[in-house]
Formats: sequence, C-alpha cells, structure tokens
Amino acid sequence: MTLLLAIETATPRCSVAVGHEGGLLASFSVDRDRRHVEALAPAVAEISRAAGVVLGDLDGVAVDVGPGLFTGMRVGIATAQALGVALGIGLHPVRSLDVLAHPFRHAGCPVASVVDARRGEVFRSLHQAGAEVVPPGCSTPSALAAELAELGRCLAVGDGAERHRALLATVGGVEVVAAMPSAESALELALAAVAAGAAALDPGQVQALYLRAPDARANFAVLAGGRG
Amino acid sequence: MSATPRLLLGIETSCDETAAAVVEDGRRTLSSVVSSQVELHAEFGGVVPEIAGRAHLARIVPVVRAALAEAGVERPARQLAAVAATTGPGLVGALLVGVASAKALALAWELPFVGVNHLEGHLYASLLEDPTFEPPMVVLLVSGGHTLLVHVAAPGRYRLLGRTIDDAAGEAYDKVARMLGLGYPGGPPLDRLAAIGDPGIVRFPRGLADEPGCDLSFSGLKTSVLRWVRAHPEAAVADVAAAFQEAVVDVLALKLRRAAALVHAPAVCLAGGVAANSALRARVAADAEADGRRCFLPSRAMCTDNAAMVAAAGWWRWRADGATPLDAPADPNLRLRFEAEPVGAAR
Ligand SMILES: [Zn+2]
Repeated sequence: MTLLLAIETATPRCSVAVGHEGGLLASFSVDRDRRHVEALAPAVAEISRAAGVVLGDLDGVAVDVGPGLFTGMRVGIATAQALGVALGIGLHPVRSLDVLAHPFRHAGCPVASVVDARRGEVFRSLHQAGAEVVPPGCSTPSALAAELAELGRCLAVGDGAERHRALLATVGGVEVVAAMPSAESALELALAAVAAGAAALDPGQVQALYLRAPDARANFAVLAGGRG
Repeated sequence: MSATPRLLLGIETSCDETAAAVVEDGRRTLSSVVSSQVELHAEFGGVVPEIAGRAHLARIVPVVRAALAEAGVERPARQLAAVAATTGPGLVGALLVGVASAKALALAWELPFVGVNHLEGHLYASLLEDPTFEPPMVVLLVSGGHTLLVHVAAPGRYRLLGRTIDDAAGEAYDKVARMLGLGYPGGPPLDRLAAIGDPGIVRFPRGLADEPGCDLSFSGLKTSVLRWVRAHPEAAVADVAAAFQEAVVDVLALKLRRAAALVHAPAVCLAGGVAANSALRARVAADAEADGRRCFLPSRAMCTDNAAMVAAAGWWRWRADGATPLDAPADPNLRLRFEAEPVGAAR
C-alpha cells in the first residue's frame, strides 16, 4: 500500500486528501479565497488527525504543480517539498488541468479543462476518455472558443470556463461546468501513476508549471518592505 | 534523554535572498546559507516580485538542506527547538515560500513554528557576530526598504526613536545610482566612485537635519541631485556621487548620534544593506569613539539579508511568546512591535 497525502492549491480553493490504493481515508477543503499560506498547514494537521494517520507514516506527497494561481501553487509546492524533506519521502506532481478533468473522464465527450489565468487569459487542455488530446497551454478565451467550436458536443470545466461562460455559451454544443480541481482527484491520479510504475521525485526536483513568463516589471512601490 | 534543544532553524525569503540558517541559543551561528538572486533582478533595475517568488521556490529545498547539513543537524526533530521564518515585511509572493516551508517542516518534525519580523532579525545581527556585544544599544537600520533608529533595551524590547518620513536611504542610493548610470544594485558602485570624487563640488540638502528629533528624509535629496545633474551635465560623476554620499552619511550619522544621546545608549550599531557603505561605517565608528560609545559594524554578509538573524530573532521571540499559530499569514506590511510611541520624533 502507498499512503499518500495530496495537496491541491492551484486555484482559490485549498484542499487536502489522504488515502491509498484501498481508497480515500479523508479529505478536507477550505474556501478562503487564496489565503493558502494561512489555510494549508492547519488543513494538513487537521486531515492527519481526521484520517488517523501520523505524517511519519506517509509514503509520499502528491501535489498540484499548476498551471493556476501562482501564489497558491507556490504555497502548495513549498509545503509538499518541505514535508518531503522533513519526512524523507518523495513527491508525486500532478497537473491542475488533469486533476480538473479527472472526475469527467466518463463523460462520453471531449472535456476541456479551463483554469482562470487572470489578465483575460485561461490555462487549458483537452481530454477525451481520460486521455490528454491537447496539452496544457495559455490561451485567450476567444481562441479557446474557436477550438471548442470544432468539437461538437463537449464539456468546458473549471473556473476559467465559468468566468467566460457568456462567451463559451455562444459556441454550439459546449456545456460549461463550474468545478475546481480537488485533492481527491489529485490523490487518485498520483496513485494511478504509482500503479503505472511512475517513480516519486526528490522534493528538490519538483517544479511549478507556470505556462507564462513572469510579469517582469520592477515594482518600486512594493519595495517599501523590500531589499536588504 | 538529551537536554532541551537549543538550536533553531531560520528561513528568510522576504525579498531577493533565499536563505536558511541554524543558530544556537540565538547567539552562535552554526550555518548560514544564502542564495542571492541579485543577478536575476539586475537587468530590471530593481526586484521583480514574480521573478523573486519563482526563484525562492526553485532554491528553497537545496538551501534548507545545506543549512541543516553544514550545521551537522542529522535528526532535526530531536536537535531543533523550533523552525522560524520571516512572515513580513516583504514581497508577499516571496514571503509565502519561506513561511509555507517553515510551517510544513515544523509540522512534520512536530516542532513549534515561529513567525519573525524581518526588521527584528536585522536588530540581532550584531549579537550574532560579537558574543561580547549586548543591549542596551541604538541600532541604525538602513536598507533599500527601511531606515529606522531603534533603541534595543533588551532582546524583544524595542523603542522607535526615528524613521524616514519618505524614501529609505538605500532606495535613494539605488535611484541616484540609476540616474548616474551606475546600474543596479547602486550602493556598491556609488560608494566606490564617491571615494575618489570631490564632495565639495556642491552641497546637497541634508533632509530634516535642522529639525529636532531623529526622523529622516531622503526624497528631497534625490530630487535635488536630479535637478543639479541636469543643470550641470559636465560635472564628473564621481564628484556628484561624493557630494550625494556625504549628504546621506552626514544626516544618518547626525541622527544616530542624537538618538544615542537621547536614550544615553552605551553602544550603537549599524544594520541592513546600507551598513556595508564604507563612508557610513567610517563616520559612525569615529563619532562613537569621540562620544565614548561602543560601536559595532556588521560584516558585509551580516548587513545583507540572511537567515541567521531570523533564527536569532526567532529564538528570542519563541522564548518570549511561544509558538506562532500555523494559520499565521505572510504580511507584506508587518509592523515591528515597539514598546512606546516614537521619542523625539519630528512629526
Ligand atoms: Zn533586510
């Protein structure tokens, strides 16, 4: 049995789950709009109590590495890395768009995972029967709408689809589903990867999937608390 | 059973240095690892928050591992007393990498987490480098983000004596250096040029020097340098640098001297990035000697951000207040807790 903790913080929601091949032991989610650094550590403490698991018993940590909310991703990844370092266990990175699409793998039609990327853009990928057919990328909502128009009947799931619901609704056949990636799905994907023979990564090897270059403007205003 | 652990792991990610350190008793540095991002930000002329956040995340694991290894900490859960991290002030996207890491390490090792104010860390820098140096003392904390005069009566007991009412001294350095085409960070090249220039070429204003109290101001100085350089394009850059630096050092040294006299402090010390400035160090040391005060000048490594000072501050904070709750935020505007209102302030 592989006992995993899963951490999901790539969107405004923060969720954690604990389980193994035998099933989910506990899950917990906090909607505190992006206050991940406040919510996550208490959530990890809480879920280990709820699942009756001591952190030292974990075999690994699954973590959503994005794409998504940069600050949330960083809190989740830093937490997973530190748990990995402290407990001497490996990490199982999963991607937000795969996690988001996972519950819809039996939908019987193409599923577009769409995460709100802010600044008028979305992160999206396309899945069919649980398999990725278009890899994660950063796109404008209108380019996404054009992509979906090719598909006929399909689902567009996630907070990005929700935000651009009005635009996507103009495309025939698209059904918008409000959904957030969940730690339960992250856990299931990581366990499936382990079963398929994927090796755990050293905590220092896990990288965030940003899919967008940093906004490279030196911000002197925020330096009020800055250098030195 | 072993004795009560006296080691503390500190983590610092408030700006552009990813750092971790292990300190014993809040006084003895066993390891201090700093991964500087200065080169990543240089081309932008300042710290880019998103680049800093990404770099902290990419570097935090090797930095923490190196700090533990260099200190010989093999069983952290037994050897450490707590894990501390800077919770503010700083860039929020940078702070949260260190805060999330420290909380998770503390959780996994079943140790207390201790949130530390970055400025409090700077106040302890001198105590880490000189085992004979003790409060009470007046600290002039000068960096790119801060300019403060603080009376440290004892560990954890601070009184604010003065602060800048506008720009930080280091910010003035960076902006004037950019004006003079010296690149970023501007302090070191400006300091080197000033050493060979003639400060007598022009007398720039000493902000609030003639006002009572210990507050400072640098925005007027920056503006007048800009105006003067535009009016005198032929002036040698080294001379302008020297005149600017003399104005900064004059007013910093004056206010430090006044603050120390105000509280009858037997000792003064410098802290923060600008404390590496050679002219400021020379002046403060000479003033202290003339006034019969002890003076401590931190090493260059201790002037800039590091985690040893965070671990030291964390040690005293933990002994005074115990653990910080795991739901503590990263606060970009975190204020230092002072014992009383500013004394003798100009406002
Ligand atoms: Zn600093």
